[in-house]
Amino acid sequence: MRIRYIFFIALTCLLGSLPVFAGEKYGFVKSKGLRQADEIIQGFTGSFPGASVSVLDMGGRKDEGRVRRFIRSERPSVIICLGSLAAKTVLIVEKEIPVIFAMVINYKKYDLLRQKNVTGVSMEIPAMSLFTQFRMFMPEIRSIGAPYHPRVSSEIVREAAETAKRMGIRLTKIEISDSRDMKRYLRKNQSSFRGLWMLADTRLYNRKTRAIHDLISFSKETKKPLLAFSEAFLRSGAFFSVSIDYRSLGSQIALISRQIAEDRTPVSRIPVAPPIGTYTVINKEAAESLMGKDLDESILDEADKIWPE
Amino acid sequence: MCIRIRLCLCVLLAAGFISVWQMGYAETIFIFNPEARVSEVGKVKKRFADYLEAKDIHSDIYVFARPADFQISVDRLNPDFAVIASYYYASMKSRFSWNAVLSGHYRGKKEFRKVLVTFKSVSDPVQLKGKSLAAVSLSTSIDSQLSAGLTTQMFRLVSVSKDIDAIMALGFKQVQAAIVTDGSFKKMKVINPDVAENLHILQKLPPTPYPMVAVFPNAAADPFVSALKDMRYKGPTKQVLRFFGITGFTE
Repeated sequence: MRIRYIFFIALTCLLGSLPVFAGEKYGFVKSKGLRQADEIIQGFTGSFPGASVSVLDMGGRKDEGRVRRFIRSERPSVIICLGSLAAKTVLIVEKEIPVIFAMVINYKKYDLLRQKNVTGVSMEIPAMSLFTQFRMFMPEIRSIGAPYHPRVSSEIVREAAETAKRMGIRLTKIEISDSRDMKRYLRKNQSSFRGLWMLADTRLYNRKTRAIHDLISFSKETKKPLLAFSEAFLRSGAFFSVSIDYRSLGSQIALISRQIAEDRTPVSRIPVAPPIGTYTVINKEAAESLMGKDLDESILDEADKIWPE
Repeated sequence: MCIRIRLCLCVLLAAGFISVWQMGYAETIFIFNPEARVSEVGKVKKRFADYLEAKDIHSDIYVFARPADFQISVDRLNPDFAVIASYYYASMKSRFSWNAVLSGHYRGKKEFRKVLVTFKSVSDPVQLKGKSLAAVSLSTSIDSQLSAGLTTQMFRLVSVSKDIDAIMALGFKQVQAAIVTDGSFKKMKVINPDVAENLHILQKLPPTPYPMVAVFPNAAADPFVSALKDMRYKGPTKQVLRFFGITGFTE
């Protein structure tokens, strides 16, 4: 009897000493079936082999009951929400399980994301990363012009100016309240910058305005290289684009998930992080036009992709 | 039937059989390169196949993300050639009886050298145990690059697509170490000294050869090997070579 008792105690101690994360589950909730969301999941599993992953695709519909059932049946240790619909829905029904959000544009505007069980990765690539890549392609760049709408991008531009200063770059803030004034303001300030930065400013750049066209045509006319936030603008003449690399984002989320599930770091001690992986596309035609004979083809090797292919 | 007509029919039948046989035969090429730029795999495969087709080489190209899938598929598909990371060649050459015929180079250099970069406060790799590390590759590939006493099991790996992201991840304090090329770190010191000044090279890692081309037993090296040697770092084949991080293949 005593032997059985000792055996029982020993077994209990042994089980107690096993890593507590042995059975952790990671539940992904996607707003809808986007390619980028799938790349994030691939990046996650690639960096965290053996992780037990389950996925719920909301199909673009807000269905709290479905999310509740998913959480109840899968019992994930960490829920990863991809997209604002997924994040909003999960956070209405779940207040305890740690939640990591991603693919949420301008996350600061969502009060729900301030819950104590929430952290995430923002969609805004830090200005430091953008300007470093600008210098990677054009080491001589010392001044950058940034057109922006004061209601949308004031804070981003102010912070970016401080970052630029630390890097020895002068950021010329070009405030434009009416998108029709784009070219006029660019001309007015053109002696104060060597390159241009196109922010993801929805008030300036949208289908109803010509600001994109005006910015790109000014960049080409004056041979001032333009950094865009999407590869789509390279066709029109932007010099290069920097956007998020979604596989790297998945890898970054895996790291945060392990901090929560394995290290038991409280979510409240993990601040929202900037994305660390970027996807950089360079416009070879624009590079040739800007640099002519001085173009060192090896700079193209620094990009993820050369356009046109 | 006249003997001449019979002869003609036989010749036509034989010619038809040979052409059908040739059409059906394709070189099976396996690719495994964990350091590759993974974002353009589909296009790279097509460009590679188109280039070989232009050289009258029909091909079936398979790109693998995991060594386990590669190994399982060798038995199933009986490949002719492999374009693989050098560490993988070294570890599997006996098992697959590989014969290395070409090696990749970047502007003439056959090897690359990476460095382990950390904050200046880290003076011993042991301090990195359990910490996170950013790099452009899979853990299996990094293991081959690490110095004695270091393994990727010691770290949590964050995979990025280029060196500059790995250094910036360190700069933003999202990771505690990065493995990058020596050249990338030197460049960062010039383009963003503010980030680089808090970092240092903790260790220089051993040199690693660029990817290699190996022939499986019973496969004839030519014309595939000649076609690879002729591949130029411009036009459509540039994207294929960029995928391997090289500018050409050489003997």
